[in-house]
Amino acid sequence: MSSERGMSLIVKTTARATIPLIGIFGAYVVSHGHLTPGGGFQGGATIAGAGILFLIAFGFGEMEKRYSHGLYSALEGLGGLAFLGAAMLGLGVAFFYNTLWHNGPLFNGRPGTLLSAGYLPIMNLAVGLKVFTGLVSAMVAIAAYRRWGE
Amino acid sequence: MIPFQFITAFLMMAMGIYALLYRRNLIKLILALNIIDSGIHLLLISFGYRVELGRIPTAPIYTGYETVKGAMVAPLPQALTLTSIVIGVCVLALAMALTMNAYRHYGSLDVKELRRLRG
Repeated sequence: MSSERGMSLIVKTTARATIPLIGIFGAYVVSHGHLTPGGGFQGGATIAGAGILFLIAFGFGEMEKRYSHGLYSALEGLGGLAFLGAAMLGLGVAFFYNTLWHNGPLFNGRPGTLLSAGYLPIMNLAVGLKVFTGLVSAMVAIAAYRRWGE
Repeated sequence: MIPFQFITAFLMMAMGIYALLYRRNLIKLILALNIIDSGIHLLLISFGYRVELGRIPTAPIYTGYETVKGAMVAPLPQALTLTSIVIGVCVLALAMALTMNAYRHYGSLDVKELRRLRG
């Protein structure tokens, strides 16, 4: 990968090593949001930090090849819709009624285990997806805003 | 005796309001907004702190709670603060985008020079 944009070789190699680690840690924070500190926003912001590290280390040209605005917009909307869908699962009783926890087929394990807490893991995943795509889109939009002379 | 967290929080808010009134650079105004925001977050979080004699104040998390047996602090201000942080990030991003557009159209970030609407 011999592009002239971006930072030096050391920074690029270190970013290549750390971006997967940051992504995995962010995914851990999102998926354990109902057990340990963290959750959708914190984990999503962590994964977006990996995306921003990619953008800064490899330059805007490399990010432009891998970033698809339609895909990220669609995923952001999908995150919001998944949150809304999880909230409407128990609409027979009330809005935001946690029917997965009370009598659902899944996510109703013993409290403290990963598959517990009803719709909370689904909502954490949805919020994490939304925050990640939104922050990366915002940073790419800001990085694309560079044509001062027009 | 006012606790020092509250003094710090109000000092941060006062500093932010001072900068909003007397600074002229738009980016410094955005930083002032964020400092006011952080002061409010500090105030909210320190309202939830709780001291019981002989028990250590712990975070309100039940994972691994049996080994500590502390007095849990209030979780409600933390949820409020998380929501407020999200709103702060949104306001920061929108204000930065508007500032970049203002610099593109005016060629300046001085609020005294951003008076007339220009194409």
